Amino acid sequence: MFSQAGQPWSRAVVREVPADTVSWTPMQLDGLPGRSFALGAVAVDHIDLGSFLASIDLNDVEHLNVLRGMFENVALQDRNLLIMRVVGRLLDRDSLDISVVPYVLLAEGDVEINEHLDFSTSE
Amino acid sequence: MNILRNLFDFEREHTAGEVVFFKLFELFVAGAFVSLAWDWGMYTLRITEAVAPQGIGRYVDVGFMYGGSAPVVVAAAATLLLGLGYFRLWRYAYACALPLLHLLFVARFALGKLPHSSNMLGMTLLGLALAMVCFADDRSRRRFTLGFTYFFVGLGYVLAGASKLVGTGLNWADGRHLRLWIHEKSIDTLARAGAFELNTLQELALASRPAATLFLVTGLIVELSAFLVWWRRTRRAALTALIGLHAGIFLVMNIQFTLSVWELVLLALPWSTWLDRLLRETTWTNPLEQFSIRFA
Repeated sequence: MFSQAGQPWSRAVVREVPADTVSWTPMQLDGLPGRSFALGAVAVDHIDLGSFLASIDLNDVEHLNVLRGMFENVALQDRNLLIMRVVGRLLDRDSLDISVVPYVLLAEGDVEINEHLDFSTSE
Repeated sequence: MNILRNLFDFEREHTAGEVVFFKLFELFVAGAFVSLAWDWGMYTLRITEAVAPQGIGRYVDVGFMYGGSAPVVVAAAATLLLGLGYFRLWRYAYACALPLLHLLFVARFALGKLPHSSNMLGMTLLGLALAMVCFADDRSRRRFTLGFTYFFVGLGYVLAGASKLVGTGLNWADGRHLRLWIHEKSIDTLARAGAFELNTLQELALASRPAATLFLVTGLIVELSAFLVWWRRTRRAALTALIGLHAGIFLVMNIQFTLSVWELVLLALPWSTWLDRLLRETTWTNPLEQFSIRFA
């Protein structure tokens, strides 16, 4: 564990956002939209979600189904969940960059994907 | 004394406390895997596809584990086998439980990230399985299981430390790396709980590169010294240091290796000696002793 130090990491964060207010623009950690959504409270594994976002192609229907499956026990009535990928990396001697990219908006019966994402270079 | 005697010591007399401790230790191992089997199985019910196959899943299609009740069936079978093994009803029960547990593990963690919090316990279960198959007498089974566990605890942590030096180099312990990891784990807490707050140690590590470097150097030294578990004279100190390592990992990185820590606590402290005293001085422990002997 942690054998390769200094490498960028990738995680996922979910926020509950009002409908029709979603911006797909990358943001910083202190500018997260909406309100916090605790994945632990709904038994969604945040590590699974983070790894999944880093490695999949959301244009693939199968992968999208897997993502839906992760949230199948989450009640989405009157709720919109914005799933975002968070990437942290060392910049130079002492500074750190953490960027947040919105990936998917989950609502009851609907899934909206960030059209600006390029999954052909997923890492 | 040579290393084999330090690890296994098949010739040494066993005490009543040792017999009882081992049965309780075995209960911890078997019980933990019953819990893990159902945890993994129930979560697998929510997975529709193996996105990143792991373990046996890289060579065999484990798609049958998704979309039906297979995870529950496998978890039930593993539970039954662990029970048969614990109560000595079938000599090969633990050995048969291991592949089922592996199947549950790879099915559950096929979405990209493999944890290793259960690996050490898994090696102990392997030791139990080998002991049941290879030895007929209960004393040898106990000695082998514990010696096998001590060996792989020591080896595992040494390799963990060595992998850091191989994977990164001597600059692995640079405090900047710990800062990056603290932020990563803070995001994990944010995702899991909805909010996070840095504790004093984390703030110190983020504010002071020398302090962060010291944390990492200390942890690395403890890992690389874990081979001292192999000798009885240094075993307790080495195991206690590993417990301290995990305490530090929890405080600085918010990472819990609950099962590993409990196992280390069981291995580090002189439970057999305490149980010997308890068995001598009390009578209410008689049923426990009789149970342990009956299912030794």
